[in-house]
Amino acid sequence: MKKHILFIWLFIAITPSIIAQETSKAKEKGHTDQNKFRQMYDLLATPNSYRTASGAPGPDYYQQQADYKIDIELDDKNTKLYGTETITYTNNAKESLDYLWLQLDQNIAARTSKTPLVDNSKIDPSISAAGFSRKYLEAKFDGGFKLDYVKDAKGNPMSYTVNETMMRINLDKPLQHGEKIVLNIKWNYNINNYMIDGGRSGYEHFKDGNNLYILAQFYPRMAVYNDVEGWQNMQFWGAGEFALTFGNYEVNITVPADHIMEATGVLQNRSEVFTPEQLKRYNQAENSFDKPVIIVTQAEAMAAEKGFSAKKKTWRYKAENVRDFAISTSRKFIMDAMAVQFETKKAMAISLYPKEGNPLWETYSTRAVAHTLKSYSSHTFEYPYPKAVSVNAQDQGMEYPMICWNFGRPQEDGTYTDRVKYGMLGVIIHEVGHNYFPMIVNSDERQWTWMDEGLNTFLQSLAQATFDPKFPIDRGPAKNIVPYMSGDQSKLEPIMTNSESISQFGNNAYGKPATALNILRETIMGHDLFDYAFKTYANRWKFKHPTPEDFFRTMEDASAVDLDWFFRGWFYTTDYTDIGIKEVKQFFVSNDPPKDFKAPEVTRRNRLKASGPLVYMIANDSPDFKPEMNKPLDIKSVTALDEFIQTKFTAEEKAKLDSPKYFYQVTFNKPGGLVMPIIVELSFEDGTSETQTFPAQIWRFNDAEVSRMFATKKPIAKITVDPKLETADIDTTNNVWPKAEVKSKFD
Amino acid sequence: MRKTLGFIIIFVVLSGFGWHKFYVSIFQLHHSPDKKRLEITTRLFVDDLNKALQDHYHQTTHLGEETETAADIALMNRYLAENFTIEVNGQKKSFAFVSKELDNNVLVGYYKINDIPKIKSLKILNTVLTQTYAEQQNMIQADFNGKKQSLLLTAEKTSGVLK
Ligand SMILES: [Zn+2]
Repeated sequence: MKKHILFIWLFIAITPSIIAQETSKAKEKGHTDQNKFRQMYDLLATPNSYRTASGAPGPDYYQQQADYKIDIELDDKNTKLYGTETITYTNNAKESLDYLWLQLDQNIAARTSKTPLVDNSKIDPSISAAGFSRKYLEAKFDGGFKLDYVKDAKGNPMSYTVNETMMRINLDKPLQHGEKIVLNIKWNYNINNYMIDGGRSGYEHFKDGNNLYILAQFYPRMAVYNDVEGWQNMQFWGAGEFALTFGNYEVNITVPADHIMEATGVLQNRSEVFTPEQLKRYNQAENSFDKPVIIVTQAEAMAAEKGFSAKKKTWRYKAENVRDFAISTSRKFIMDAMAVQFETKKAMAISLYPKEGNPLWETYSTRAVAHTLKSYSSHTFEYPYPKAVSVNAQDQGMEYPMICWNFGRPQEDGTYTDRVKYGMLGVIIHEVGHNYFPMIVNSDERQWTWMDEGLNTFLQSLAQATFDPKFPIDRGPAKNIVPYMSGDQSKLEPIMTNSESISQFGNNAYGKPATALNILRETIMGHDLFDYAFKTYANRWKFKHPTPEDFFRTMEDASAVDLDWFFRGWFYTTDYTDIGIKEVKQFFVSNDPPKDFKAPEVTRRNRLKASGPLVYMIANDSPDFKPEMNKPLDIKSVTALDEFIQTKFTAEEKAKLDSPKYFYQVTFNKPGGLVMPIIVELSFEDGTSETQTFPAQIWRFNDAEVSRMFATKKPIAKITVDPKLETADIDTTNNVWPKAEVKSKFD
Repeated sequence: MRKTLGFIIIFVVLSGFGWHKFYVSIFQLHHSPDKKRLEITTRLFVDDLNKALQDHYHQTTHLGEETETAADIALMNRYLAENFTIEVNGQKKSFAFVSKELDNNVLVGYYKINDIPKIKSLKILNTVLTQTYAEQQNMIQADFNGKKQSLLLTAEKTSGVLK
């Protein structure tokens, strides 16, 4: 019997829908879950024992080790570099390796390089004679590594294959788990004048005959082998920077005796390369925490730049747990330094610059380095390296462990504008900041530029704001990304796009991710939750190789803020924010029902809202609205409500009741594809205002339109969505009610 | 700087991206049928603009700084008139300077072309900053006849038509 009743109930429930289906003509197709809040199972790699679902390294996480002993000699006259190196490579992977891959980045400048061949080229409508000559007449720069040999530990030649910027070492027998292999390599190359031939390293030539060298990618380097890519041996085309293995370095660098140098690592023979006077000043700098001490003076540099010594000097450096090594050397260098104190240790902030950089550089560079280390450490981890060096190299902005190249020089008469000053400070903060990402939190730049540039640009904006409240900040504030995100969709890619396929590099890989993080911190998560999660990511992955998944997962796992919708929208699509006010209705409380009002049937669910005496909400645009209704709610005049309150509450309870006077229903629409919180500012007629924020999840059932009611004590004069421009809303003309007659800029 | 154009192109091919400047300017063109005019908003990084004027006219300008002069603004307008031309319905029109303001380090300029009751086509020629920065991109965002359209102009593609 019971069964029978159930059948009848089902039949009754189903019948209307069957009828409805028969009458509708076109049959709709089904669909998969397209909800913007669905979790990112479709996008993220499956977690495993190398990388966990929490975003932390797993129990089987490993990374390879590459230790280098390098001897370099610089031929200043012929701008040529000679080197030999011994690489000791340790296979920490459980599997054995059949071959090894090394990076030969200099080959991007070889005459046979394919890099120039993958670019569009068109005839210039006009070109200088020098440019024409260089482009059409002169032989191309003869760059690229010239390899003398690759030998094993015993000195026997090893078999190798060069494929453009990558070299494969063909092993006789596989390198087993835990085994080490020794490679001995000898090479040389012509150093490029980067002002002419481009590049992240090379030399700048001065009218006085001197060169200022910034040497990087100067040695064959081990490629990364890991659980995600196998060998990361994607060719170096120019945009995707580096993926590098951690290791320890001992590097001896022989240069003309009158050069001043800085490089990655700790200088081992300072007393051999400095004068006693310079040594004394350096010791002073080691204890100067408030201002830089000049170690090599401008007078000494100006004397040295006339010398062109034929003698040589060797500078010996050791660096521990770095992913790369870089050198800057010149006769022209002035040097200053100061000490920076962290909680448990100290580091040196150092600057190298030619006299052409003064007075700008002696005033700001080292101070900016010290500030950057303190600011970044407060958001990540204590700076673990013994120093950070800022080198003034014209037109450059490039980062290496403990050392970086930065542009910015005054006019010849020593004057400079605020733009030049802030440009130089910006690049110094940015490049010194790269020590954290990607030098220590060692993401794969060849695959994902945003993982270091985006995170670094975000921290840069925080460091700039604390260095100088007047610092103009290009990237980070939400409104600054609007022109990019509102641009022609055919020119946009998601942030999650390979480094070589991004058309607006600065906006896509620097600006947009920095803005996304800024919005997370300021608007979505708040400082406490964001800072804890971001710090967790930095600490989990320092001296390791994280992937985007590790970042996304950690930010969520450490904060309990569901961010799948945010990362999906901001990082995996080119959608933009556009939220507007579609309609505002004011309601008035009435004793009288509207004309064709039918009381709703009282059910178990609505019995609280719909039973008993009713009061009626009349919209200002309904036919039942009468001008005399247009006044604030006075409960006394609404009989049913007044009686209810009088009988239900004691005097004490009545005193605690809220007393809203005005009732509004606001409908928000969302022309933009991104879901974002709705930030609503209610401005009252008396000039006061209040802001309410509705979490992004308000869009979960309707991605196009949602409504909210507001019951206020004061009449609303104006409603503004996103009043402080926090969400990168691309069209703010629909953000205001009543639609403001914006005073035209063109009248 | 015409002189080093060739050098710049080579530089771009091999240059690093450790630090990347924006190199994107925005030109917004809005047609107001009520007021029968085309309203033009230019958004240019002010230091790029000063550099372009230096390269072009060999004059040091101080746009966006306290020492900015009326002559600096006049030179900027001359530069824009020479490097940004608009043909409305097949006829070249010159635009009048209305005002300008500084938004952070972007110089926002307001210009207008009066007596435009209807737009059938807009032809844009834009070489602003492309000779100073070979990778300069000029984004044209137009809004007329109720339709939003955009054009991305570069050193290689300096003109386009919107209908
Ligand atoms: Zn960078």
